[in-house]
Order: sequence, then structure tokens, then C-alpha cells
Amino acid sequence: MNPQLLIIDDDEVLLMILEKIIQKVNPHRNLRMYSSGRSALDFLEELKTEPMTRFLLLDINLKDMSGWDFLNELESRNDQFSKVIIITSSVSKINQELAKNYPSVLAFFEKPITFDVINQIEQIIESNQSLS
Amino acid sequence: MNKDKKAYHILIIEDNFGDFVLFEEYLLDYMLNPTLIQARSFQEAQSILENSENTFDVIFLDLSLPDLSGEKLIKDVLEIANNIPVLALTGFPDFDFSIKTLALGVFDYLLKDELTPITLYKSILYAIERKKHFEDLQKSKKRYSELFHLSPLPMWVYDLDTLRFLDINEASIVHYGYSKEEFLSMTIQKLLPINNFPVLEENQTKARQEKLMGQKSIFIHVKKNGELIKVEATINNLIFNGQKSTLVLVNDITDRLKYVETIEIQNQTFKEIAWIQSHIVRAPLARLMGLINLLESDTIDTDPKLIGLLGHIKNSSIELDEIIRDISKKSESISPLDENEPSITNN
Repeated sequence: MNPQLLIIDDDEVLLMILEKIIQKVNPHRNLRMYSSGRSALDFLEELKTEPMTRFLLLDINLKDMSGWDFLNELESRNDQFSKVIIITSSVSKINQELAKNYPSVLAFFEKPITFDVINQIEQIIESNQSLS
Repeated sequence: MNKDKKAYHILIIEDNFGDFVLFEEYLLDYMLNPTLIQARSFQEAQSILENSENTFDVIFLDLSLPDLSGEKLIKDVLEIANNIPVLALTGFPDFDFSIKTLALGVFDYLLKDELTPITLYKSILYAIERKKHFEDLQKSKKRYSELFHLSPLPMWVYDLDTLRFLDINEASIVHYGYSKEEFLSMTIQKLLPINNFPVLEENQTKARQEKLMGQKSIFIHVKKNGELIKVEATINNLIFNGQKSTLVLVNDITDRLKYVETIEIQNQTFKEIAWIQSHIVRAPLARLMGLINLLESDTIDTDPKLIGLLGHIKNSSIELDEIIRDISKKSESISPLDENEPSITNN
């Protein structure tokens, strides 16, 4: 089983970096990139009926919406299969506190997302993919 | 008998030689060495008193002199006596007139026929003592008056019922631009813009219930030139010349408020800078660090020179990251961002 990994970040350079790192760490990872929150939400809406856990690397500073708006919409859809890992360039402690309010959030990482971080994320995916 | 050794200086204005001799005898019964100067007319008394080398503890005044008598004499002597106690001497008992002389400022009214050494001595001592008390009272009255009039902060007293100014100090005149006469002919409402009237009425009610002890209220006042100022007024009830009135001490806080406002604006700017530090500035740095991480993994077997340079870039970025984290930490500890801060809505 190879769960999907969605990366939602408006920073194109970051998407490129993550794509390369993830390909090196796990070449078989089923990867999708979104530079807006809306396009990712639309895609997840299509997947709604598929009972398969998918993982989201979500930036909380998107151009079209905040990561919190994104999470609120997921909750309102009662989406049980989307598991979120937050990535942010902010070093403010408040974001970490806020993230705790969302049960779908598995982890929180400050950028840069390095090989180390991706390895940790891979482990998180590994241990959570069969939860639902 | 032990005589009083104090060196009394006494002026007696008396034209009758017999009365003078008797007076002197009586004095010497109780005083060891008094200096007694006699003036035989008002004019002579005047020249004696005008000589500044002469100082007296008391002045005795016979109410009928060749050149002046009665009420006019009393008034004129009191004027030149310069606060020395004046005691009236007369041969005729006239109760109504004696009361009147006391009202004019005479310290005592003595009938020559009833005079004895002891009553004379006692009336001198009493007069001297009373004058001391009177002076102390004057001094303290002056001191309190000065506290009011020389206060660097505007102060005034107004009538609780009519709202008219009853007294006003110099600082108020300087601060508000009205003259003393203008102040005393107007009510405190003239200092208030229309919208402050309810506060005034509220204070009036409290003042009547005597609840206004040292209460501070903020008012907007209008100066004579139309300038609006914000003041902190300390208000106290007071009985002023028998009238229920209110004492107000005013502190102009216009500048202080402007100062606070400036600081608040600066503080807001500072918070915004702090937010930019921790959210915006770090984004390109994080991207840079990600790129370096990627490059490191790609350049394993290439030129050691390049690897060295990459190491320097990496160290510099780590250093910059530490600086930004340090700044963010400091700014967060100074002004903890609350839930309304932009970090939540924008990030």
C-alpha cells in the first residue's frame, strides 16, 4: 500500500526542493503538488468516497487562504482520511499551539524541510497509514 | 513682690498730665523698668510713630485729644500704629461706643476711673499675647492662601449651587487665558464643551451628597482661545466663606495623553515589525536552507572547493536563522501576541 502525499504550498521553489528530496528518500511515493489551498481541497472533494488514508504537507501561509481555513473546511466536511503535517517558515510558538486544536494534525515542522525532516515524515506516514 | 523685668516699650497718647502721672505710677507697680513715651497730641504721636527707631509693644490712646477725638482719632491712630496693639482710655463709660471701638480694631477699652495697677498690667500682657496669636493666625491664613494662589496647577473654588467661580488662582488665569475678573463673573460651565455637561451634573449630585472627596475625573475643557484640553480634575467639597462650594485642582494631561498615544502607535509598529521578522523574513531564508540541503546531497563527489564554499553558505544561513529566531523570541516576550494578532489570520 502506498498512500498519497499531497504537498500544499504556494512557494514553487519549495515544491521543487521537496519533490527532489522525496524522490531520493522514497522514489515510489505517490506525490501530488498544489500551490493553492483551493485546488487541493477540490481534489480532496473528489477523493471523498475513497476510504484511503492520504497525507497532506500543509503550509499555513498560503496565498488564497490560511492553513487554518483549510483545516476548518476539512473538518466541516468530516474528512476522516486526510492526515495533516503542518510545515511553516514562521518561528512563532502560537502556531504550534493552534495546531493542537485540530485532531487531523499529526505533526508540525518548521522549515527548512531537509532530508532529516522528510525521513521523519516518512516514518509518520508509515506508522499512521493503516489507522483509518 | 517680684516685678516684671521685661523691657516694655509703651506709648501713651494723653494730654492730661495728671492722668499720665497716675498711669506711670500704676505701671511701675508691676514693671521694673518700662520705657514710657508720652505724646500730648495726635500730631506728636504721629511723628513719634513715623520714626522707625521707635518700637512699641502697646499704644494707649486717650479718646479726647486737643487736635483730634472720637472715632476719627481711633481710625487715624490705628492706621499709623502699624499692627501695634492700641488700647483706648476714656473718662466716660459709653457702652455702645466701646463696642464700636473694638470693632474698629482697638484691642481693649479701659475706663480711667476703674483702672488699677493690676488691671492695667493685665491688659498690657493680654494685648501682647493676643497680638501674637493674631499674627500666627494671619501667618497660617497667608500660608494656606499662598498654597492656593501660588500653586503651579490651576485651582479654583466654585459655588455648588450657582456654579459661579468664587476664587481662582494665578495658574488658572495663565492656563485658561481669562482674567481674574472674567473668571469671577462666569460659571464653570463656560470651561466645558457642551458634551461634558452630563458629567458635570453627575458630579454636582455627588458633591451635594458629599461624596466627592478627592475624586479624580477627566474633563475636556475649553480655553478662552477655543483650544480644547484634556484635564484630570481633583474635586473636593469645601465651605468657602460660609458657602457650600467645591475646590477643584486641575492637571492638564493633554500632552501626557499625546505622548501615550505616540508610544502606542510606535508599539503597534513594533509589533508589526516583530510579526514580519518571525513570519516573512524567515520564509526566503528557509527556502535558501532547503536549497543548500538539496545541493549538499547532489554534490557529494565534486570539487572539494565547491563543497567548502557550500559549507560557508550553509553556516551563514544557520547563523542568520539563529539571529531571526533570537529577534522573534525577544519580541514575543515583550509583547505576547494575542488571538487578534495577524499571525493567525494571515499565516
